[in-house]
Amino acid sequence: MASLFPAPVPRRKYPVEFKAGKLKREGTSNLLKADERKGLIYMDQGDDQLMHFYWKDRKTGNVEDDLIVFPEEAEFIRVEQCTTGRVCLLNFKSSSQKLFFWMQDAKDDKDEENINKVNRLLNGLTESRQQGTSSTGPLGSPFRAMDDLSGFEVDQEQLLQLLQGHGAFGGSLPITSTTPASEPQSATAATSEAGTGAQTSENMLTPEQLGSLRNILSEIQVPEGGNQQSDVNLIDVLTPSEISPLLSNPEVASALFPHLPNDINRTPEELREVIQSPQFAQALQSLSIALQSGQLGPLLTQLGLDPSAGSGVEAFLRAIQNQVSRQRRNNPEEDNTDDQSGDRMEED
Amino acid sequence: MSYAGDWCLIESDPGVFTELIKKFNVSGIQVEEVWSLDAQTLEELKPVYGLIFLFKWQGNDDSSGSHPDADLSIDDSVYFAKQVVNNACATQAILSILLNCPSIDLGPDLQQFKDFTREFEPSDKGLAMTNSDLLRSVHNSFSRSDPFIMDPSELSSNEKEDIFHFISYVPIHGALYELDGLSNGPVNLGPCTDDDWLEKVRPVIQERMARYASAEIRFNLLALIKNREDVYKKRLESDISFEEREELLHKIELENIKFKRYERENSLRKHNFIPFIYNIIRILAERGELDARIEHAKKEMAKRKKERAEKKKNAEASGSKN
Repeated sequence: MASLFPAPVPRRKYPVEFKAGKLKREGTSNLLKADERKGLIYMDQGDDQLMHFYWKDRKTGNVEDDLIVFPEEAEFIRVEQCTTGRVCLLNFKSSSQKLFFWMQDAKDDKDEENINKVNRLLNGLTESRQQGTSSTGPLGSPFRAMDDLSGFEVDQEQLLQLLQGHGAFGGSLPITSTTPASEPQSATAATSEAGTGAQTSENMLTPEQLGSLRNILSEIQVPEGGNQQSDVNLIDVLTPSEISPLLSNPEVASALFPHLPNDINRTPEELREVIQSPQFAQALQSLSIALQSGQLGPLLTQLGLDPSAGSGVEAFLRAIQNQVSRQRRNNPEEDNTDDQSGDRMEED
Repeated sequence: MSYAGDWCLIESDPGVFTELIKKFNVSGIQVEEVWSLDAQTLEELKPVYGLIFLFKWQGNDDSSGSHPDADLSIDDSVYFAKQVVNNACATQAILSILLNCPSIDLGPDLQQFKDFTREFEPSDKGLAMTNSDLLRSVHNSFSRSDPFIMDPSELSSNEKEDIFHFISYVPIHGALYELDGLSNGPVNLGPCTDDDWLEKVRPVIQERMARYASAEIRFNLLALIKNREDVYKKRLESDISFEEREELLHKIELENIKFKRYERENSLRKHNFIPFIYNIIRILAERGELDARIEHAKKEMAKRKKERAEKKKNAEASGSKN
């Protein structure tokens, strides 16, 4: 229920600050290469009462970039295409100025929060809350996929090497994208324990170690404790970044439009923002818990599912899968993608 | 068993509270989160009708129960209601301020409620609140419960132990009062005026914040204030400089943006997403992509469990670190 309220500290903390490096163009080419310097992005209201976006070299302490940003002039977006690192873009809407950054914090679980905070500050909203609400409203989603890198291309190989060297690689494994869901313990590899065999004082994994760690993780059977058995959470099934591409499909989109709140516009863009919202994540979480409690008999019946399908999220998912297969068998010519409600079907 | 009705848990979010108050048919009020008590921030928020601390903790807390200075007499000028239902905390906190501010136009419903319960004992006032259909239905409309989830408290065994607590600070008739729902009566913290009460309350709140932070209790501090747009528009009517005019127009614009965001967030909060979720799962199944998603989810779950086990092991190894 409550959000964490920062206790008063002697040094004034910036409304947002996080470790990040820069990416710059190499010469006149369009290839963006990562600047290996350790840096810090932070924002603050200056003496001129205007909002400033800063980048500072953490080693020298030199503030290399000091930009004044007026509300709605710029946005801070995650660059989805770059899968090796967590790359973000400070995009100025008025001019063609674009600044690319890569996250240098070992853990990526604060990425979403930081991106949201930056966007709020960029648009003149000075509140900052940790959980529960983030700005996915009229100001645009921070996770809009960057369709247009304006001809730039990120040198992913080079970034990958840098990441391993900096130990900032602890956040994500090479191919997977991170889950921006609201759960504080994010799905990151436990690289804090990967100190064995590391060659520097920071956590560093060789590619071989990374590979075997992934294998180990996928086979883990952790002994039980707590509510959730070996069940899954809907938040991991419907990970926004993985589901987003699907929403661009017109048939998929139109099948989902009727189930949006009435006051939301029926566009694929809105669909994406909805599934990225904390409120949707909470709905997934609530439903997951309710399914695990085995209390949702009436719901399952209403959806045309067998209420004795067992409890838990996976059972629910399998029940839907079976329902789809049965419907296909009964109506082989019908295209079921347009089927919008769980009609009760004839039982076999 | 007298059925008081179920009260659901709602988010202590300024957007939720602002809308809640509107739905109680009280106009001209908004709620802002306060994360700095410096003079400039507070100045921006004025006029402030009251401040609310909202927090939760598990098990016993020695700050509940009767305060040595609690005024147990039923003082007609101070409306004090005891918190009777855990989940109703948010609404009771808001009412503890609204019902103690003569300058606020309560609207017919709350005015009637106040008049009706004025002479009641604190616990009966609290009971009356929890029995009010209007209050409960408006409050519950902001919860994330879906119609099929019958009893929220049975869902997560964690939530059973959570106790939600509010403490309000409000100036009433020239004195600063602390209203603690779990206490027996209001506490008079000393004289104050409408202008200086915020300064007077600052050290009290800072002390609490420090105490909670060190005990790692999470909390919100919210302010019930006059609607900002109304305040700005009023200032625009007076003789001001061009710069100030521009600044005010800009601030009004920001308020509009914020309220649009609140509207959207509340709309998403209230929406029953089950049909949506069901349909998107169906689509994945139809496209043969559901198996892959389930496998992915299993891996994520395993990762998290491992991480938690590691954290636990480290915490145990390093003693009482956290």
